Amino acid sequence: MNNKIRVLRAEQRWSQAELAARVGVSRNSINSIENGRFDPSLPLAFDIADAFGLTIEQIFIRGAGPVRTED
Amino acid sequence: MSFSIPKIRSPYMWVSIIVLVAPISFLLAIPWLRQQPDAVVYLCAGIAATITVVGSMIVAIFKDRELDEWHRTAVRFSNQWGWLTGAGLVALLLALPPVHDLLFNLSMAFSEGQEPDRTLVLMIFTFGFMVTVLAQSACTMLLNAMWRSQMSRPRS
Repeated sequence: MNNKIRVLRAEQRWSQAELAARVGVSRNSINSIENGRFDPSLPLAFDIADAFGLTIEQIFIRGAGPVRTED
Repeated sequence: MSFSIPKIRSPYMWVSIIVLVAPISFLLAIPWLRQQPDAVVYLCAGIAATITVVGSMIVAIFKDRELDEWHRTAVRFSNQWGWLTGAGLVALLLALPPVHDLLFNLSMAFSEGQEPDRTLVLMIFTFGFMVTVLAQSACTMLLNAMWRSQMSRPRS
């Protein structure tokens, strides 16, 4: 599963640690999710989406292809 | 020049220290224990083992509360493969002659000059290892059944 967390985080000027603190997980978690190495649980995916004020579908993309930043 | 002892604030750091001190103290006390009656030896061994097991469980529970899902996945992965590779590694080591010599020399060190039977020593170590692996397998199956049972229940 791919995602746009890195892009969204850059837009908000949040560090990985800052996003991690907002959703209540470790920075390692955010780093691994961003890199597509680790798929978050559904509750964590909701928390991340809430942090950005978006829906899960707007952040997480099914499949292993590269993430397109334009919608 | 003065030295200050660092303050250990975390409660589970204290427990961790106790968990390490108990078996090390027991090992260091072996020369003294050999002169004591069996009841004293069993009592001391029981106390040391209980402190280690209970302390380890307390530390594990404390630490578990701090883990997020990324850490839990890492723990699950390492447990799943660590037990397997560790057991396989010991099985391989038990087949190596240098390890045989090491076990035999270790037994010699505790046998007060009487040479122990080499085959018996190796059989005891092998048997001990087999019992450990069987106990791990049994506990893994039991915990797996308990986890599946718990997870299958509807939420109240």
